Amino acid sequence: MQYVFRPTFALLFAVLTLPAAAQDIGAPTAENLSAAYTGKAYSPYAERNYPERPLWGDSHLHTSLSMDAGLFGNRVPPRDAYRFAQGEQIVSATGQPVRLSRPLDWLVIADHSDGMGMIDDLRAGTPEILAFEQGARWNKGLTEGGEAGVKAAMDLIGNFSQGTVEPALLNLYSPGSKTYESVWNNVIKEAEAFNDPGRFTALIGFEWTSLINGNNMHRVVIFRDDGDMAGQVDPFIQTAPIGSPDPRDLWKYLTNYEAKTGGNVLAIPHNGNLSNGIMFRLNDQWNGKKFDKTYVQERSTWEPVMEATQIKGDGETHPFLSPDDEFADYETWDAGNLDLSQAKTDDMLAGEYAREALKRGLTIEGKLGTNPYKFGMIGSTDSHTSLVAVEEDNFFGKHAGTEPSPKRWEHPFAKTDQGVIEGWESTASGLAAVWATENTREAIFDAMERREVYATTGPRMAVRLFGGWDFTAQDLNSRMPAVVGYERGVPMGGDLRKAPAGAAAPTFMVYALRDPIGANLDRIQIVKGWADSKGNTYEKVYDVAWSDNRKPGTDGKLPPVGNTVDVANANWTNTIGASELATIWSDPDFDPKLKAFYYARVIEIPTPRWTAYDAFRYGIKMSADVPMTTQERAYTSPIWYTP
Amino acid sequence: MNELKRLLREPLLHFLLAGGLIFLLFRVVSGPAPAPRDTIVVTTARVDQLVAGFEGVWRRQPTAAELRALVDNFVREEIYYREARALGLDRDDAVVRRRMQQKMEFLSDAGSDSLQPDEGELEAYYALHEDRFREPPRLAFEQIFLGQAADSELITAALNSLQANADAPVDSLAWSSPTLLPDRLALSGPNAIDGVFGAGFFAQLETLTPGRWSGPVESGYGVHLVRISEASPGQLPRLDDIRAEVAQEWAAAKSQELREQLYARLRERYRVELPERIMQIESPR
Repeated sequence: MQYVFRPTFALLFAVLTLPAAAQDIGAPTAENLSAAYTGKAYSPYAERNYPERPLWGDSHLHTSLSMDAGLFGNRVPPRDAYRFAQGEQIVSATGQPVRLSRPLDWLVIADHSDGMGMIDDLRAGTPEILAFEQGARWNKGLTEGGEAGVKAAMDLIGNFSQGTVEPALLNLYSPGSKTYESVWNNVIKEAEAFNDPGRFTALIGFEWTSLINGNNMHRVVIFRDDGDMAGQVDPFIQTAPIGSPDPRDLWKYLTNYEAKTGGNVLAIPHNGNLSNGIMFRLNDQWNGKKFDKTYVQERSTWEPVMEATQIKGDGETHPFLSPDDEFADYETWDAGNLDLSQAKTDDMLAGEYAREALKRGLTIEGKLGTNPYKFGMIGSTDSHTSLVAVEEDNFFGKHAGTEPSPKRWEHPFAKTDQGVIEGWESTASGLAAVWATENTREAIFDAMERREVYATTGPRMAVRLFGGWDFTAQDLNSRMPAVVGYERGVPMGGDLRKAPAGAAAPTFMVYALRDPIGANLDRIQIVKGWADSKGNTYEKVYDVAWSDNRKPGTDGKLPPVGNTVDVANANWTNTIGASELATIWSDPDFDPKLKAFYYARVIEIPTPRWTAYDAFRYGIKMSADVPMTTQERAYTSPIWYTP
Repeated sequence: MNELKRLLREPLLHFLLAGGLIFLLFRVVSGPAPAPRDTIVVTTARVDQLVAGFEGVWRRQPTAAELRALVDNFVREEIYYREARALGLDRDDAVVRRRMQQKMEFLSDAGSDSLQPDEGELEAYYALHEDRFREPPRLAFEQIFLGQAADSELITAALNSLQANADAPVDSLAWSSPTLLPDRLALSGPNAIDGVFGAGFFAQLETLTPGRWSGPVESGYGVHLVRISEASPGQLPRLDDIRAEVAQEWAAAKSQELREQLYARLRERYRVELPERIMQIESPR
């Protein structure tokens, strides 16, 4: 074990975030706090007791056990997914050798709970499967392979999205059946085998794949516990009568799990951008029922984090919602819902993106007393290839059919009479960074629950954000600013309460260090959202730190950082931008009466997009509308100001 | 063990065994007279199994008519199965062949699942595979960042000064502007250290003498001076501390070994003729 979570830190953390709750352990004084937590122990080699480096992982990876993954030809099982994440070279579903530039620290394999493991039997053609017309049809397609295989895959996904798979066939691969239990036990067995506390963490999880007429309501469920507890339940599915597509029923399942086992579990929503407006609604639930106090409380309890960026598009914000934000249109997927059975309209967008949801949360809190959208942000892949391979120069696509090939850019990802999502629109994103004190299931889960996490679109930049009332420029000059950050403020995901006497506005210590093998940084921005007394919401993006001594123009906008990308050779240089950016920023428009949140967005200098690597390596020419450069980024979890 | 149980319940296995028996029977009774008609016996146990299968899917008991249909279907399936085998339809069916191979392998795996190593075996395995159980080496260190491209003059000056004042508090700002890189790391392995400083950093640190300022060491960011404060060689945990892990690895290895042994024994029974072109290629290991 590398890091020790000392009681003094736990105590301090509680004191900082919950001043009122600290009464029964005696009021802390400045002296005993700094004695407990100066970061300047007599022995300079003493282990530090706060997170030293972010732990990198993916909370959302599919393997051959997921029906759709298997249908597209993925036969790479969880075992190989773990080996890959730990840095080993493996062979991908399409027979290509593949390896990560460096290992990950943790991984959640989250296969679809509906029909988990079914695809292997479909391919083998077990008697139980062949007894069904659909089963026989899909088995035939799969064993034939090629075009017939692809057709069978599309047919199954269509039936699954629209809820028209024969119920009895689904029952076989549903909770309660022996077949299903043995699949789940195997999932747990593999996680236990690869979980190596201190070095590599394999958290147990699954994906609950709720679809309402093709509108995405998916959640990834993650357990804090070991297999002896997670194995006491089957995963929750979305198909009635055993399961349900209603998030309230998922939360009931989570409640029951904790009551039954004494364990801990949470849920992470993703792809609001494919929900056609039902993921983050303002007044009512997906089914039109009005929000009530219980609903918003449950949601805030079970969903402390959302997945804000992944291969199926970036979900931070949309240019329609943030017209003044010149970085808003990043890898936008707004053609329609998940299966493109319904095209997107502008009025749906506000219920789909993280920033708008964070704003809506403030309004709802004003009405019902709880903020259901008080979430931190992470990125993850949602890859169906068993590979966490989302670096631009090492992008293995969404599923086996989109692994590297000269044609993948031009094959539509989805196409119906409602619209099209082009192959080149696949986004090489994202990863989750966790400020955990040690690399264990418990520490990583706890960091997610306190939202001390952030999202990146793939690169591993280290980003710190602290909010407090009295940070000064001098604080950044110490050798470890984080010590000051924890001592006099709250980290990302935390809360600022009423301003102390004499403080005019909150101050934020924010700093970022580029990926050690990646591109320099263009700028750090603070995104602020707030609500007025009537519940109307607003947002503003501030440039707070940037490279190359640029001067903002008369319109207040910072000029672009420049561009060194050599598209033809898929190359770039770190001759612009900065390795490190840091600043102390104070809100110039602060109104102490109004609820607000602040998060940091860190933007890299332009680098070649995965399409440029494809074009270069395969020697192909893509059409002019295909973007060839990208500016990767990180989104931190917000800090909320709640007067 | 579960595999074995499941396998024993597999209708296909029963059919195979039954088929084998019938074949033997046929050999015994066959003569000039026309072969007797085959008999299909549907036992009560078989009926119970069909009912259980129905319940598994539909979550209720079958009605009488459904029960009769289940049995009729079973008989139909059995007759087709026997006739298909008699015609050799299974021989060139890739799915059937793959499944048969799987089942044979399951048989040997199921046997090895129940194997427990005795103390001697476990110790021998642990001793033989030390490298697999050894923890990676770990280092704790302090570092001073001299910038993206420090010249040798600066490096020498900084190094001399640090070495001369080894006991004084370190003033990193004397040598470079402030950095957000951690000024020190507690005992950490190669993945953690390279994760922060970039690939290859740990390997450079390993060559340094602990306790004194050394360098330059190059990271993904630039040039550093480093003082190793603690070095922990890759320790081999005691067998008692990782008994379960070693037993698991032993079982996995043993299972593979048994599978290969079984195959080798079966293989001995066959003489395999190959095209000349293939014979010239050695089998990969």
